[in-house]
Amino acid sequence: MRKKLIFIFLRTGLILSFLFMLGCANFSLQDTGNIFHPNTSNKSQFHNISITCDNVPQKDLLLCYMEKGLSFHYKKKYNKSNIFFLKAVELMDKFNKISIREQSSAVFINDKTMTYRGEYSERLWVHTYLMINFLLQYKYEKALVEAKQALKIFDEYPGSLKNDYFTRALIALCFENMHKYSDARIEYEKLSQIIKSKKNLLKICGPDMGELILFVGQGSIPHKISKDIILPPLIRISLPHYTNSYSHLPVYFNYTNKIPIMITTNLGNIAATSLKKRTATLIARHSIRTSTKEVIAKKIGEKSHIAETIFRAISLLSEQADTREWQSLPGSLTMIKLILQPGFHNISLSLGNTSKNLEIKNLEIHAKKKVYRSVRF
Amino acid sequence: MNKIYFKFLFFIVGIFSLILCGCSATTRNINITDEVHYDAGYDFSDKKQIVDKLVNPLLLSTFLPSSAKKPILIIYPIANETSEHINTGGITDDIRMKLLRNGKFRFINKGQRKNIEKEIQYQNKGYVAPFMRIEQGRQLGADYILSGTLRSIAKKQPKHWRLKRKEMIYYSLDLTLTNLKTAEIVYADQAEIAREASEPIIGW
Repeated sequence: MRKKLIFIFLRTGLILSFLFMLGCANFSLQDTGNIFHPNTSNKSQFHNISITCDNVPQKDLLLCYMEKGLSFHYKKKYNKSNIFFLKAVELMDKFNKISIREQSSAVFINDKTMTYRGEYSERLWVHTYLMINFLLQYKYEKALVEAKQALKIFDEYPGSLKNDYFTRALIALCFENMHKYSDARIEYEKLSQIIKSKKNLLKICGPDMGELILFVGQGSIPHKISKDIILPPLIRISLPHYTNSYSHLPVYFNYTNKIPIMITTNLGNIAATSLKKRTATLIARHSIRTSTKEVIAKKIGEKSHIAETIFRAISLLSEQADTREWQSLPGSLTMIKLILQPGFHNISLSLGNTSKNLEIKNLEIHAKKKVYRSVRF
Repeated sequence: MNKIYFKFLFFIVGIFSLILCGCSATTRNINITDEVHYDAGYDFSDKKQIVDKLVNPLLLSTFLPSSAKKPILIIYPIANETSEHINTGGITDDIRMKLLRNGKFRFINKGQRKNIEKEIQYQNKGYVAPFMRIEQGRQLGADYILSGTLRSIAKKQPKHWRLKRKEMIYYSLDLTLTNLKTAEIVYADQAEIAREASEPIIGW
């Protein structure tokens, strides 16, 4: 009798815990990727959306910092952008631990209950945008610190990130600015090997010339969606993947007699590769979750078929892929390096064969100095 | 039945009490002379240690020619060549303060030059009585430049099946004193710190 009562308490406790975690998971049938951009069809208008991180759950805080950092970057408020990106970096540094609580809730509910740690690519791009911000502010020493942090991430995830040419070129530029020409040459050589270019990417402009460095973003990164398969009886397999990659368009500008150095990264391709590298972990966790739920369902089914059906239905609805992503990123990033005569210049950029144009008027170039601009189509 | 019920209730209350005790927020003052480290990274204890290691030998050294005139120093920012955002201004300010208090050196305030120029321009615009205006061309010229570089080497244990991961960071700050007239390095010293920290890979 006593053993039976203890067993009833433990079983009730287990079911209540499951329902409690289900409630706390805050899942909804709406795609959580739309938390920060609820009714935006045109993602490149993100800078008009006001985002607050105060009421964001702890598990989505990294995402909020990333979005807010990028929002301020394109509003040209680089100090504020840095504050949020540095908060993101601080948060990412705490992600070295495996949380038992989160792993347990992920095994019972879904991956959305876990703290969002960012794709490997997204963690790199936090440092990429910090480098850009510091360069735009001419804080070369701080930019180099971020370059070194970015290099650590490249070393940690070489397979996923090796085709991020833009960030590698940016790292080389940061070394160049601090007169670390040996380190810059190493990075440019690595880049030349990857993109199979014979151009000398380390071009030091002559004493009478200045340099314009443009960071051009275009389009939007592809959306992360879930791929669902329903198996009998009421087992749902839901895994995230990226939609079709953004088709990068060439950037033209009015200085046709100049041959700039252009280095482009398609962010969608890198993000998709990063996600693929995590597939094995996602499938393993998914399998454990499915088998755990199956065991619980069968145990409940021994007592009541109706309860088993209800449990299976709840499990089906709760099984959702983690489609959280840094939505406001551009589809591609291009670095354009152009050597110009000192003086005032009017730069006009156009995107492929589209009617999209950008103008930078009265840009002052000084001899032996670099001028930076960040623009987005 | 009642006994089991009360035991279960007592167990739940006990668990919640432990959770609440663990979650309570506390604050306390820390003695700045104590070494307190939460991880292997740079913190205020390191700054204090570096400054003490560099200032004391500089004060005791005999590289300067013996004369009644105190040497005039100008401090240039310490270059940060680490992979962390470290405010090296704090280190230079502490070094300057200790050397100044000792009385062996005089310092030029490089950071205030633009403000001094602004103030003098304001005075000469006619707002300030002529007898109170600062006479230009009377600023001190430095004899020596004090500069330095902060470097670090960081190593983390590679990913393996283990319960803890260790991280080791080595910092070194090289300080040099350069004669402005001859460009000769008349004094050089180095402060080094190395620390190892381990943190569990699995947590709550």
